Amino acid sequence: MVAERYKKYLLGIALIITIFVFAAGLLVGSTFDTYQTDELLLSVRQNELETQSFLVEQQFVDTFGGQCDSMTSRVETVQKSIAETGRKLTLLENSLKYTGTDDFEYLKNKHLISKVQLFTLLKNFEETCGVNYDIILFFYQVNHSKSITQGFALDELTEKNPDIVILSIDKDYEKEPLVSLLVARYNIEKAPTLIINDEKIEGFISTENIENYIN
Amino acid sequence: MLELFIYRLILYVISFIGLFMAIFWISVLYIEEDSLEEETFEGKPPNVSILIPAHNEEDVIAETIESALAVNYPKTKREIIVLANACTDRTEEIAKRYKEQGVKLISIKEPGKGHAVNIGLQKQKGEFTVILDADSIATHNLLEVLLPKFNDPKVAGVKTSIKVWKPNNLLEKLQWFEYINTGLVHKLMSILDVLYLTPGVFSIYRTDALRKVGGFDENILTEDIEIAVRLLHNGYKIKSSLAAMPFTKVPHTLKGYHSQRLRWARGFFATMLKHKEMFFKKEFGLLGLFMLPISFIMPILVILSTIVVAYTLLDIVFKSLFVKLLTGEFFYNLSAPVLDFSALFWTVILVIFGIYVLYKSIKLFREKAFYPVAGFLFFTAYPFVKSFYWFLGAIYELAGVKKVWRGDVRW
Repeated sequence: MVAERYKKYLLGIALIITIFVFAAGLLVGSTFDTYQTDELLLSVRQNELETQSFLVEQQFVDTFGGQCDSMTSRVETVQKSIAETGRKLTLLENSLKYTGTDDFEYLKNKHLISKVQLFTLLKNFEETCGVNYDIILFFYQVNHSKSITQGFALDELTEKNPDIVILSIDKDYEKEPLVSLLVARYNIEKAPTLIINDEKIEGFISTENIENYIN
Repeated sequence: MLELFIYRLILYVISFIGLFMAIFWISVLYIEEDSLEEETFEGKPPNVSILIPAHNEEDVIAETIESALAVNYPKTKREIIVLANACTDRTEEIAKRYKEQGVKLISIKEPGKGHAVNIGLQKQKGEFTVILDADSIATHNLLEVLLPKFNDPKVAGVKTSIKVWKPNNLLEKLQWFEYINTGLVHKLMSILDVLYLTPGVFSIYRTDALRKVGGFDENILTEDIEIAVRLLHNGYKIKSSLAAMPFTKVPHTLKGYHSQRLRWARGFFATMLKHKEMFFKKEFGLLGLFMLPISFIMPILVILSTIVVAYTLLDIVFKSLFVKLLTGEFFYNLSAPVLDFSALFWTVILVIFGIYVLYKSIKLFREKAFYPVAGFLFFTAYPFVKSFYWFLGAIYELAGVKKVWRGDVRW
């Protein structure tokens, strides 16, 4: 019978094919992951560039004098694209595969620096140009349902009020000294915590309540 | 983090084993397609005894006896014995009507199918013994196609490929798919000599082998699985035939289904425990090293995958509800933590394999009907139902719940 000849090898043959199919699956998964990371890398770089350009423009205005008006629209663009990157980052952050990898940590760090830079710039801008921004610092925790929910509430808020600037910061991100600096400055203990125009609010707060705070 | 790590680990392990099993059986199917052909019996027709165990089967017994009488075989070479087991209805009366056609009747007071068949085994004269359940219907060619399997003196039992008799409701249609699918898998198992069951619907045994191993076990709920494993344990082989296709009437109510499946699961578990020394033993070849252990752990894997799927769905539902509660808005992109493209890829491959095997089965069973809704459920929900019964059976057996051979449903 044909069976006798192959019987011995059947388990081996099946195992080899299985390993191939399994590996193909891993490849499909990692190709998709790489695509996502690449896309993220691109937007982090873009933000970096925009923040820097904004910084230079502000220095220019400081030194040579100029119109504060022209800069208002710039602020909006920068803040929007930083917020978008933040959203992408959070989505990836909640997926186990990315957290902890060097690439991801690098991106997260860069993004965070851009955010703090933007925060400082805005504060400066408020002083030099006499404008007033509604800035919300959002301290969150990774994989923390209430933090995720707060994130969605803030997304909703910016959709309604594009002028509001939201800077989200992973409060436990010890790799970046800037985070410790901010956490100490505002004495952050739990997540989510919002700093709305220098006022501290702990725990989840709905979109309507944030609006009340701002107005 | 740990929770997600465990989630992924389970997902990957299940995917790997699932793929391996599918690829293994498809390889057997591919390599052995020629072995699906049937042979003819060598030598003179032997004496065959057809035993029909029946417990309160007045509705179906006549049809079963008539189908046994209609099997193509020299009349002098076959005997038909109805084993009326603790019957309180008209079963015996109906069976007596066939006396003139040579149908014998044995009344057995003590209930228990194993017990009934053992009494039949003592009284019958054939070199080969057929067990034909009273809820089943034999087809004309059965003996012609089954007997050739015994050309190999090591073969002690041959099972048939059972079809579901006129499926009407969804439950019966699901079982229609199940019987067809397992029919092909059992054939493939038989090619590799790892088949370990001979269902009572219509199975044929070498009588002296049955007597040598001590007849049927009267304490196990599925004496038809146990006897097959015991024959294998004693060095015999079990074969399956795709040419022989008797019919069986499957439970058409959930209650009937529940009681049948619980009995099967308990019987399976008890049989595995009884023959546990066969596991991982080299002398039993593929059966001991691979088939028995994998059959035993497969339901655990299906249960684990149920948990994984449930976790994924609940994660999405609960997170969405949680956010809805806090913000009044629904967000759908919450499933990000559990989206895995590798797993998605493997699932697609597995579904393709499943459809291919089912297509092959339907072709081999020469079936023309097709039930799309039942077919969909067979792939999606049915494995979980089967695994559920596996667990229930294990719990009942381990807890030592009293065995009831029959209730108000068929055995």
